[in-house]
Amino acid sequence: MPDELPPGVVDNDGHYEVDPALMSIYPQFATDFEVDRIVKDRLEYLYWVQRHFADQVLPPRAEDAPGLDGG
Amino acid sequence: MTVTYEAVNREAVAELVDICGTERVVVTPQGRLIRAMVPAPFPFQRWADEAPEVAVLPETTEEVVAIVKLANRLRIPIVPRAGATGLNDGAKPNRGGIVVDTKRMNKVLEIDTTDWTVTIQPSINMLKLNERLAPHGVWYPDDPASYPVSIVSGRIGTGGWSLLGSRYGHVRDNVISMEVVLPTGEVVEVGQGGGRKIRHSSTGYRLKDLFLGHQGTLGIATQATLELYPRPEAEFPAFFGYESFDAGYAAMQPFCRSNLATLAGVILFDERKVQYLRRDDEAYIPEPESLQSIVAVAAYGSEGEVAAARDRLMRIGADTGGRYLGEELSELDWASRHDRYATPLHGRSRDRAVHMSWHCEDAAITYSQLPFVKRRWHEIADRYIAEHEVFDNWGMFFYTNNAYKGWGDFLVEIDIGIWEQRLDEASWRAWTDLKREITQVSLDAGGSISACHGATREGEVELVPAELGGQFDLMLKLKRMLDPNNIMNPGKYLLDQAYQDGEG
Repeated sequence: MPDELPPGVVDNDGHYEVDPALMSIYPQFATDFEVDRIVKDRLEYLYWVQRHFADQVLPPRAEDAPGLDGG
Repeated sequence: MTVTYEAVNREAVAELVDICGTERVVVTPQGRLIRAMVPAPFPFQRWADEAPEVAVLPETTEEVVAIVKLANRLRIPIVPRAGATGLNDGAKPNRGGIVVDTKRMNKVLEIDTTDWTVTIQPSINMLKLNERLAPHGVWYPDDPASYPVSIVSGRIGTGGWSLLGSRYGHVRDNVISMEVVLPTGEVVEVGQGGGRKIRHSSTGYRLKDLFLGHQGTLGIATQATLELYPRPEAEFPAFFGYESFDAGYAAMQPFCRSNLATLAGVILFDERKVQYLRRDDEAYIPEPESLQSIVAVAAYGSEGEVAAARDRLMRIGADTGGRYLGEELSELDWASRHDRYATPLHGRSRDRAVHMSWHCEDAAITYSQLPFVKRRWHEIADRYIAEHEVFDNWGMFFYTNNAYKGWGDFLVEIDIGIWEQRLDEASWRAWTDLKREITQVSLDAGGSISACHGATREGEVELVPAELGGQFDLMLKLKRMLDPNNIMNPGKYLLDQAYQDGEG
């Protein structure tokens, strides 16, 4: 066990966890960089998982898919 | 008889070390506490009370047999634990004892591309299994929302629902046979008749289903032979927006009756779900405010079949007044079926954004009863939200079973945000009361308490005998016959009743 725990970490019966007091702060601060990274990583993850399911994803035929602007 | 249990003493731990070795016997507080966790909410203040006394990680059937025989001989509770991603309590001890953490039993034993089966040690993750199968041009299509993290043996224990079940069937359909260690330590092969790779037999009782969805109360699966399918050449997902719930609800029928064998699922999101996604999921792709419900469909199969299905599905969407939401939203939101609820992790309490986890309550309901259940579940949830600041309503969805057959019933879920840091004994009691009320609605609608997760938790398990009637009495008799000392996951599904004086 370390002599001193990092800020924001508590020892709960030998089990390290984030200080629950920090979890009650809302909204939690996140920089634009962090938000962008989270969204980018999520999309990358979604595409990665989805590649496990089929060789390709078919697009709709152009005439069937006017999209939100043309719908 | 009344069952009493022994604590895990030094001698029992020493025997477990003899079976598995020191490295695979866990007695540390961290190692035990983490094996009391499941994703379903529970009061953290009770966490330590529900930890096992020891956890073991066997690697072979022989080791599992030895552990089970030890527990049966010493009258120690034993709880099988797979990925622990289930939304019931199957993997959590109610009486302490030994947790058998099976995750090291994850070997692929045989890939048979002649008879189209794969035989495994079942604690392998589906995503990893499919990575092994891909070079052979085949796959195992079980697709729960927990696909990236859950494992096959847990799916066997819950008898779970597959999001592609309309196309490829559910766990009950795709597990052909199993090797199971019974609570007395006997090893039995269960399947269709005696053949491990036989899909349909009329010899004897069909016992396989008894070991699908038992929540760890009847044994531990140590091998499984699974169905293989050709890996899909193509998929086509499409999301359509409707200007009311009623319009989306009506559109479900033409989609479900499209007679497309490649149709994997048809899902309806209600107005509360759409509002929640707009409000609290920053990653959700915005769509017009006028849209109040969404119908999602997806098809899988050969390229030619899926292309034909695509054209018909797009035509049905247009004919029912649906607004196609675009290729990007359709593809990504379909892909996010595996992580939709992991993303926001916040909800609203008295209109403030707060950190929340969530729980989804599920039921199996027929199409005609969906509006009734939707109305009642929202009324109940909103009443509890008004009284307790720890709850939020994240909306409902309706997911058809056997869509292409046209008559499938529906997995119905309501997602309740829960501010777990504020979950005290009073709000925990409110939560179980809420569950009980919505469970009663499912039964009033002629449905089943659970289409997917199981029904072992407080607030729903009390109503299992009411749903099952005489089948529950048969469950008690089977449990006592197979597990005479009630060591296998005791305290689940009210099965302790089988051992009360004068019973059995």
